[in-house]
Amino acid sequence: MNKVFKYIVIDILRNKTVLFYTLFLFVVSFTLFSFEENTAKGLLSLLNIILFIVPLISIIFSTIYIYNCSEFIELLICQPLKRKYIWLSLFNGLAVSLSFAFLIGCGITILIYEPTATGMIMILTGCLLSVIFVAISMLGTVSTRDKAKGIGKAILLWLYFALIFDGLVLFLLFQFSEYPLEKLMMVISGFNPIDLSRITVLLRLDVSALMGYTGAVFKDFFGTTFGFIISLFVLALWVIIPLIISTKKFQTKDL
Amino acid sequence: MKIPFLILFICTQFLYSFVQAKTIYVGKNKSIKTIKDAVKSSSHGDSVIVDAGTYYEKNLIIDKSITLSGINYPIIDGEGKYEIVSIKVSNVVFTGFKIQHSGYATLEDPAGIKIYDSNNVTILNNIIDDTFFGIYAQYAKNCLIKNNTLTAHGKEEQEIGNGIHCWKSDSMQIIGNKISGHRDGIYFEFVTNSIIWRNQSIKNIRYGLHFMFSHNDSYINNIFSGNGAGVAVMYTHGVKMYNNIFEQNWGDAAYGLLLKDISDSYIEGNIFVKNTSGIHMEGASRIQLGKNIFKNNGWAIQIQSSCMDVNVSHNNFLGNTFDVATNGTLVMNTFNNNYWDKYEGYDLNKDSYGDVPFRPISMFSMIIANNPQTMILFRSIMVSLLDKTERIVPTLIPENLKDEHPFMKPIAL
Amino acid sequence: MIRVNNISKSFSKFKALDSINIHCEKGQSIALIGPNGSGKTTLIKSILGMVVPDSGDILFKGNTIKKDFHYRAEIGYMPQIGRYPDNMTIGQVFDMMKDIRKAKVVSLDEELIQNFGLDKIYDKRMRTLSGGTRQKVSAALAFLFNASVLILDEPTAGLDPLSSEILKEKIIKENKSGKLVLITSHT
Repeated sequence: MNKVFKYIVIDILRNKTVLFYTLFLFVVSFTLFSFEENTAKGLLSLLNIILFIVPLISIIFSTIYIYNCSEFIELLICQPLKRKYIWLSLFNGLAVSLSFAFLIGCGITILIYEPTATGMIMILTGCLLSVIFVAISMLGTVSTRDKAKGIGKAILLWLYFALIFDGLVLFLLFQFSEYPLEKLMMVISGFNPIDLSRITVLLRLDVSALMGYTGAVFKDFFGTTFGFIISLFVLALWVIIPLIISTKKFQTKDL
Repeated sequence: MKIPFLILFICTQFLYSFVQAKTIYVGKNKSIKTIKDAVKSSSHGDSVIVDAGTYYEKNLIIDKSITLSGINYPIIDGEGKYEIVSIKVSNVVFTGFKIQHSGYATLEDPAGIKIYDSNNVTILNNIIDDTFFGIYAQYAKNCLIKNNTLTAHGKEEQEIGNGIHCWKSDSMQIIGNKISGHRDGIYFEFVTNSIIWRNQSIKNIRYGLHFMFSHNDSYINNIFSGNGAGVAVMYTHGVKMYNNIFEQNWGDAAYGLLLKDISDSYIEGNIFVKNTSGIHMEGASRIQLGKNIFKNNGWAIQIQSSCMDVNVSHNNFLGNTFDVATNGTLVMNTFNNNYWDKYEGYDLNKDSYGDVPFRPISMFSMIIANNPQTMILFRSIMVSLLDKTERIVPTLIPENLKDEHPFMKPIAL
Repeated sequence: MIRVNNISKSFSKFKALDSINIHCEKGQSIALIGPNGSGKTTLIKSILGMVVPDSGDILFKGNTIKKDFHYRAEIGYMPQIGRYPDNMTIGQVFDMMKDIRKAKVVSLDEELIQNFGLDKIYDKRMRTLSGGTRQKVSAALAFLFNASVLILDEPTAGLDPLSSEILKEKIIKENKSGKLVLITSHT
């Protein structure tokens, strides 16, 4: 099963963008931890970087990579290989290499400076975000033929998850400010992997005390092992669902 | 000639022995075995000295103006049923005892030591452990409560009383006590002209200091650390708070200092470190807030729009998540000459003040104040973006909430 | 060997294939000639399973190719433009393709690799290669696995005359040995 996967990983790990990305994460995380006066603050600043950079790089890089290897995909399709197998190999290759880049870039510094459960969860969410945005980018590329259009779509998708979604949440909160929306917000946060990751990590840090009643409601749920497993499950769904849809589409796609 | 002299001599001797204070010793090896008996056989002005050991006195009532002192902390045990020491007369000195296991009835408020309607009572160097209330004073005046250590082991607010509790008292001196594990470390209600100095109120369940309707009091050089909700000062005027440390009051609805309906007061030289909210003010007016250090708090100052004439100047704001929050656009308070570590201005004329004003309030903190549920977006990219744009083009934040001349460097305090 | 039954394919409004019927047998050499956009490549891609026809059916050795992929082991395909992962060397591309098809291949035909001199530049990375050299790699790959059907899309388009000759000779040779050859050209 892993032949194509192996060659894709080798190819991506040689890619200059990925090398640069790894180095960038490493330098940023190292600087943050050594310049902030305590590691909790470093972790908090790093969280912001991770939530911003990781989805952006993952979705843009994967999109460009898939378009660049479209001829290679064609070549593979002419071989006696299942389409599903090719597509999943591509996904695995991208997901593993980008997670690996994140692990080297941020994982090492987190392990050095903050080898706690919170640090581990941060590493885990960083990897999950990488994988999620690879899956989302594959869903974007499979239905768009034109490369420029596809990259534009990827940027829009990122903007949506990083920014626009939160804007809508803010709007919603003000429109219905007289209603208790905590429970609803918990469900809504599940619709954005970036928000869900942010809240999952934030609730484990000291600053969660600032989140007041809303934070307390969230903590009661996400703070428990059960809630944590649920949020991991939802994040996993963000990988599985786009992947299933894109694989279905790829199986009948004309190349 | 001789006989009248003799009579005079006998008379003076008799009188002398009657007036002269005697010292009564209590102990296992002494003729008097219990403190209760010692009090019974004493008269005003006597001293009672108690040997080390454990005494079960049920409720020890002190109704004579005597000095009671313990050697090596004799233990008076309330067996979990009684109020241990009740002082019902003025001019009592009570020193050097260990008081433990009082009753836990909620209606009678049993205490380790309770002062009833008395003046000039001194409670010095005692250890009070596992009592419902620690030291309780009602209708007391001119009393000194000094260097006592009070420890309780309460888990829930309603299961435990306060450490040092003063009610309707005047001119009290609370000095150098260490209080932990109580509901409120120090509780003042209707207490005037008193001083709270150099106490440590640590890890109490509710407030480190709880202060209501108590005018013209000072508290100076105290440490309030890790209390459930910090320190609350309410419905009072003329309070002076100098050089106290408020720290580690971290949690949902916890404050370094909660001010509610306070006026004509001074808050100076205090240090606020790592509190969810350094100072939370509601209905505060004519307050001088100066030379304080606010460090690593969630909010340094939350100032509701019901406050007026609060003057915030010469404070250092360092590493707080939010420096100032308010809930309205009307601001009748002034901010001047503070140091803000978030200030990004410049100082062209080198007068050590920044040339452009600093707005210590972020847009997001305004949004939260109006709609607390939006805290769910804390630390999201959109919020940082909003804050950045609002700094450049202020629209939502109060126009006049700004420090016109912020310091460029931290103020040496 | 290959039977195309009445297939149609349109891309949005453009009808690329309209009820096409073709029958090819072993040892034949067939050229598809037509102007640009006449559906040559679409037909080839349909046979290869890269394009899914709207209607009709394609049989390979009597079996429909729908939902089958094993039949492609018997096809060697040379695309019009061949692009490969940028960071791989020529050697790695050959190794990878061998790796992917390993189980199904008995003997390898490395004649073209030698004739084009590709074995001498095995260490070169794909992104450094010219279009012509990439075409050589594509051609060599198409013949490498001794497939019984060869589908060549504009095979000589980017090649220099010498290499073009080498390829032509190879095509003729393989055709003579009984292989079915399908070539498209717009000339």
